[in-house]
Amino acid sequence: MEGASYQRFPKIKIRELKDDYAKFELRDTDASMANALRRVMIAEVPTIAIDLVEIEVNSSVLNDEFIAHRLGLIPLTSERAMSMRFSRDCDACDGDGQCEFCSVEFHLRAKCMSDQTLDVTSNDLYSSDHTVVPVNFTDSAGYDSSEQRGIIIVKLRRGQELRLRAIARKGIGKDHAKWSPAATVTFMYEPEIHINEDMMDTLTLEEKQSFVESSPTRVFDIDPNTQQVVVVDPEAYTYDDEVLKKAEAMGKPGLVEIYAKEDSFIFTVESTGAIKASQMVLNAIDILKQKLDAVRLSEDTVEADDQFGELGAHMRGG
Amino acid sequence: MDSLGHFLLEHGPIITKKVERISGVVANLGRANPLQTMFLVVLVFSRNDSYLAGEGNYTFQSLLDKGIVELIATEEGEDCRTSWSIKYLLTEVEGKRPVKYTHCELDMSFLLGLSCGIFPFANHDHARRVLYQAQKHSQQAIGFSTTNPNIRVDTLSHQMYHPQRPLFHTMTADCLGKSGYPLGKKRMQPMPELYNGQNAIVAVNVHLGFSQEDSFVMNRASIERGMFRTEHVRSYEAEVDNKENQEKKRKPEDVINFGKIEKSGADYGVKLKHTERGMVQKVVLSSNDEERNFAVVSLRQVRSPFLGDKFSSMHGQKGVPGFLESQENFPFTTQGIVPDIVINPHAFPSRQTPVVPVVNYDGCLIYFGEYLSRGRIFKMGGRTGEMVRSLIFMGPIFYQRLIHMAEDKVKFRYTGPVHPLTRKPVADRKRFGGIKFGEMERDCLIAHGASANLNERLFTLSDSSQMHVCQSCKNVANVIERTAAAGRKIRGPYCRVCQSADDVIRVSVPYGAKLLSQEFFSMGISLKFETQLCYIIWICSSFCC
Repeated sequence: MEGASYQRFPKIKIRELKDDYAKFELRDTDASMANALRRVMIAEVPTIAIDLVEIEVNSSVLNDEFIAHRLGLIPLTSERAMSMRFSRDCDACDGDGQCEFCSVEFHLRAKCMSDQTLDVTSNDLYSSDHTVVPVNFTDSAGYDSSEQRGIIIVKLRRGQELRLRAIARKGIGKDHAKWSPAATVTFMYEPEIHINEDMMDTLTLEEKQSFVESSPTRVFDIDPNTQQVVVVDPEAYTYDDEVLKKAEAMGKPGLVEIYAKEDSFIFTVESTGAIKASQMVLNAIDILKQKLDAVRLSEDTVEADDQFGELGAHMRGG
Repeated sequence: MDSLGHFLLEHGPIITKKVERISGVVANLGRANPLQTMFLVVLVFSRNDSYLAGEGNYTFQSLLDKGIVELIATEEGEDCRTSWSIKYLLTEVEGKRPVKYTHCELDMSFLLGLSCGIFPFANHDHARRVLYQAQKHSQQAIGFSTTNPNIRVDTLSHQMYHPQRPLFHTMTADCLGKSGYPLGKKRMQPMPELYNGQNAIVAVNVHLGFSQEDSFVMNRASIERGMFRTEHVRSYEAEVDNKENQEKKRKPEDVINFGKIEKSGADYGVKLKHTERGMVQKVVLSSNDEERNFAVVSLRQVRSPFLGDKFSSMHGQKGVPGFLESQENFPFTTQGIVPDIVINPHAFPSRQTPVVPVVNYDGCLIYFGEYLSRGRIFKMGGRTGEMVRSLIFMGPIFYQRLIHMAEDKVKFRYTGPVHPLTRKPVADRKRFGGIKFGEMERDCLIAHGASANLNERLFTLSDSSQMHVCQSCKNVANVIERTAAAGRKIRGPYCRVCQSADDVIRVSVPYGAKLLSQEFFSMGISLKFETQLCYIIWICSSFCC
């Protein structure tokens, strides 16, 4: 195999990991990879969400469409989603909820009998499959755990009733935002900040102070001992150029130089609770791999080599 | 302020009288709208100074009783010397004697009406933009207008699913709250249901080519999550002759059967227009004052934003979505914020509405804490993940959904009803009519040299018809039944002038031309048609009159 290899070995360093939150560094790769990962997490990692609703009785103040829409947006635990079938690909059924391979059935029955307003929440949804249930937020700290609080669907007053059957299916965020497992997926380029120490030394303490304060986020600070401007948190920098403009206004262009590293990214991933944030990243990588498999050229096609040259070698991972 | 509003609402219309200074004639100016007078309340400062000097808790009523505050109607206001605010009462204008004011506005913003008073930063706007908002957009914006939508039967009503309180509101807007909870007490703000719009995250940026000429790009994911979702209810009423109903007692099995005509034979149904649709929300059977029975059927429809629906900010910046883009394709901030709406920067320089950025800037400070500098924000492109090399203005702006929606305005036609007299396609949208192909459009096709297209558009697809012309005498030959040789009856075109059918030919003419010639004929004028064989086979017409 001739030609330079373009293969890189991206590294991931996990900084923080919670059920619904992950922060990690992605290094030794480029923006296309980072962005592909982000896009797949938002739009193509499958989850399960309520898709069909059959309303039997609805005497609540909200109309059928409103309730159906609200039901659709309730996140359901979707660990099974990757192995589940899409209804459109399912041979066993026509996606009407009769088939366990592609759909999960929910039932909701609520009637307010008392004078007090009844809150119908996601806890009132009864699933036919114990692995696919509405996401429960009560176990996380911060909430009153004694109270089982689900996601509110509708409020009923005395005599009002809601009875429905709902079918949840697998889907992706591209089809409808309700299937997106991502609450927030974002990355930033790691900034590289160089302070020109010689030039900085020419500043008075007040000038240093005003320079430090010119940044809307706390990126710089003054060392109380040496009275030198130091970078406290480079990642707090939002590429707002405020400090560069301040330096220019002070007549000291080049006081600081800030670059964005082209090959390292800091990801922040938050999940809706449908799947764990870490699982969301892993699933995204899986899906990205599947997508690449579809375009990968087979090992032994010589024509492909002629046709694509170095690109062919690159795509084969050589 | 708040108690004033309720005072006026409780006391209802007020009769205003105006005394003409010169003639002394008392003119009864009729009933004044309580809401209008509310904004013309002025403070009479010249008298009763002693009353104000004393300490105490004044109610609005007591101020009114003492004549400290007066209610002034529109016409009455013309004769008052009203100061803008207390500040102008007390300061002298340079080199001039102080103006002797008779009244003073309670607040400067009361100079403008209610609809002007409820949107913020009007003073930063161009006057015309203020008028757009106050007169047009505030009237058309969809909100949550009633508290009893389920028992109402309006012909047309719109309701927004999730109205929000704008991040900025004026003092007047705060006074819209419940009487029990004025802003002065406990700083309680009015409920979001009182506002008709939502706080959308708006970025000022170009997004592909889809935001030209006041169109903008909307986030599809936001729409799917319920942004700007509205419910529309349209009611149809039909009166019923209640001859048989009076005699016959209604039995329980006499239920309404849709799509089935009752035995009585009369069909009182109302047909839907061809573009209308919806789910039956409710059916009301009732009778009016003349004891005629009627039925009202309400159809409900839920609409989420679509291309061509009309939206507006509070500053006369109206626009339509030009594209619904997926969430992942939008630029995003390092915090992961993605805009709901991307508007074109060209909307600002000529309109002089700096207000949107003002709201934007201040709104940012509320929304995003200290992260933003001057409302601008750094972004990563959503498509490639590369950094956008400029700062993008972004922040929450209060947007209103207006009642003009593409779905109500679709107009298309392949074939359909024609006008009975002219046989041209009808123009009415309700009757499945066509779009007018007028003079300017005709000029356009002529300029392109597209004569075949023009012929098709204006003739073949319009009122194409045929008539017979006798080539020897140039007169119109009508189709008649005549007796030929051997007593045989022949039905066909025949020239009465030449007494023959030999030279009669058939020409294609617009029905309008044929109609004209017939109308002339009825007045004793016969048009002569010079005909010529046309060498282009498929255009076989002559326009000779």
